[in-house]
Amino acid sequence: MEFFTNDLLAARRTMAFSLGFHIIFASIGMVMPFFMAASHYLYLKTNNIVYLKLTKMWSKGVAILFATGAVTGTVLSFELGLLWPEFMKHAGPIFGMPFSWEGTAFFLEAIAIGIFFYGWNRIPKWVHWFSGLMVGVSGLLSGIFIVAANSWMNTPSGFDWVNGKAINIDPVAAMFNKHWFQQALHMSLAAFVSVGFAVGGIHAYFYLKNKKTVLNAKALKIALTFGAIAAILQPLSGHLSAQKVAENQPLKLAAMEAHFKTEKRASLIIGGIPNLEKQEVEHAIKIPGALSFLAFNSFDAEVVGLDQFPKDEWPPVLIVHVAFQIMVALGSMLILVGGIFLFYSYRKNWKPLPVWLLRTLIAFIPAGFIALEAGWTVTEVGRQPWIIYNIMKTKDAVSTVPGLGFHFLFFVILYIIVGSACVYLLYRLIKSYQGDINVD
Amino acid sequence: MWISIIELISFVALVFYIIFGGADYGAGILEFFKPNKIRKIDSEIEHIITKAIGPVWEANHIWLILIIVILFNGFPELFVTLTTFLHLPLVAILLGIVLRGVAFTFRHYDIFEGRPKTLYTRIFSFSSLWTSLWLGITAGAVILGRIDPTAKNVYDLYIHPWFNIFCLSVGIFVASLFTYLASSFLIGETDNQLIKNYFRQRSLIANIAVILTGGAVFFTAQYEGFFLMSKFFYNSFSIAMMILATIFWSCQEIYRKRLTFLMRRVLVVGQVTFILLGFCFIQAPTVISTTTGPLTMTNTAAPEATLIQLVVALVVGLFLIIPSLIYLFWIFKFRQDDSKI
Repeated sequence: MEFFTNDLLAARRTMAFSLGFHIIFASIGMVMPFFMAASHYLYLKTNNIVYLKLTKMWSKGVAILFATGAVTGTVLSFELGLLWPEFMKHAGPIFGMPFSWEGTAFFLEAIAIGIFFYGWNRIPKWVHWFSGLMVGVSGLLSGIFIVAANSWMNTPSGFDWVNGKAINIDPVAAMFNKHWFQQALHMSLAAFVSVGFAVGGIHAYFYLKNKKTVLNAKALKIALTFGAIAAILQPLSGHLSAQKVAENQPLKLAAMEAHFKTEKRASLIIGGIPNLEKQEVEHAIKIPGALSFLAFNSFDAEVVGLDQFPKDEWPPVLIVHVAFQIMVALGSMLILVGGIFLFYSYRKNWKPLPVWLLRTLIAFIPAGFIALEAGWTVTEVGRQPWIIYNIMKTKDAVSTVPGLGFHFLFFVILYIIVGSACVYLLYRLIKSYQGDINVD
Repeated sequence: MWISIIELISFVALVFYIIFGGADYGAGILEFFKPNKIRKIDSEIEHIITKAIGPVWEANHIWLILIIVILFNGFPELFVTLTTFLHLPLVAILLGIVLRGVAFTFRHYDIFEGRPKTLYTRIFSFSSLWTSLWLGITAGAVILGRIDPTAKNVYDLYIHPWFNIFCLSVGIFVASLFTYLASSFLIGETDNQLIKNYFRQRSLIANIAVILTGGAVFFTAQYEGFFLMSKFFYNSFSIAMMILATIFWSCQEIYRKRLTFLMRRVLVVGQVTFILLGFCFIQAPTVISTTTGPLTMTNTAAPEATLIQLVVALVVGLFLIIPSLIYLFWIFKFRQDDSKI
């Protein structure tokens, strides 16, 4: 059975699954503390007890999700070596710098979380508030460091590769590689969008269900204000990121766009299914010149196509293209919904949000996270067959330990159990805060 | 010079992980071995344990991540040797870490009593024991020296290095050590005399277990043809450390009625640190013994640029972490009486 015999595939699946799982919790750990701090701030300023209740409810949610994020993150730090020892042997000394800083940031986050969650009525209230904010700040920094390490795999720098060995290692140059800023910005905003819309949507659901309680209205407003603003900023960061990809990973851009032939005035392909044999995209909308413009700020620029590269170096074009389309499509819809939300929430003569908008928000609960996962699929699958772009192939990095299929299966089962328990627990938590009963 | 600094920091991180992280595991093990007859104070014990480790457990376990990062950044060969040849024990550890962390948190934050809570407690206590055993087995395999990069078959490569009675006995020793730490620390976490006595008694049992299983480690080593005993007796540093550990232990036993909890904690931490130092002096400067020779931090070090960067990151990091950590422990461990007023 291929499932158990193909160790490369099993390792890639395990990594994809572990990262895909962890990133949900990591994003929440990065973003929710800011919502929490906003609500906590409003409580300290207005003394409105609803904000206190909201802060406490959210902080319990964060505790559950952060713990899950922390343990799955621990798994990932080991998995780098468990699955990709050859990669780590060469890459560790080069791109380890962001990890060593991430260690500090993560440590501070864990300390801040302990102080915040258990520090109610124990320390001065503004120190307590600050510890909550620090959870978010250090979480965000952790995320940025990790993404910088990932972007090094896309645009490796800070070393010379001579005869299969890295020499002249410069960890600082490796950390501040060509793509780090754009990728970190894009991911940070994506986290705000995903979590903002998910949390906002969930509260929209409880708002409609439970006779429009104030708690849910306030929760919804805080979460979606963050989410909507991030959604509106996201295309700018996406554009910056795409230009870096065009410059440094033309093959990835070609796969994202399913752009088979090198041409000037290249058209932007929207939707469609790439047909690898005919080398064209079926059922797609094409906007002439738009791709050239987006990639190089000029309608006449030449965009390199897949035809310029040997076929065995192509990433899986279908997956990359479709994932990219999903990300862009959902991202665009989120901008629209976010814009409408901001309009209705912050207009002059305030009225409650219309029911159709609340229903739309409920429908968009998973949208941000789907876009986030699709985006990571573009980055990671789009880099294949390389683990370090143009330096080391993924197949040369995989562990020699046999039976990685079992390893994959094992973690899938474990994470499904943990994930379901999390959802169940959060549902009970939010539900318990719905009635008039004063929990806590 | 850079390597020495990193060696020192790694050792400190290891000691902190064993003392703080170990006490967390030990608390779970205590729950695992809790006899049924004490139902009266059952929920109280659970409550004390949750209260004691709740605020600090996340931070306590980051020492492990710090060690991993030091290894894969500065000494990739060490990291890769571990993750390749000890793949299975490490996966077992990860399973334990995941289940333990989520079960502990879920138990604390699930506001409803009932069956799920009992299940979380079972998972938490069992995985605490499980993880401690596997941590010890991994440590045993690291010093035993059966890791064989030249081996040809799956058994010799990935199972033989750790599948033996010596590694198991190190596992049991580590679990006893963790339980000893936890029960000694927990005495100070409550004012209930009944429970204090309960933890005192557990601490004594665990202490005896530490001594017995510590002895067993030497005997099983001999049995496996690994002459740990003679290595120990030829190493004056190790002997000195053992003597210090014994002195600390004796002080604690002799003055057990008169000690303040802070003093007791200091003595226990000292005792455990000296035991660890003793083991480290036997092994130093080797980190991992293999059939093709010892792997040390010196012979696996990354280029200097990486090491300098790592030292800077660690030193700056520790300057930020240590004060925050002290603040955390100060709030929750030394000011407990304030909250009761």
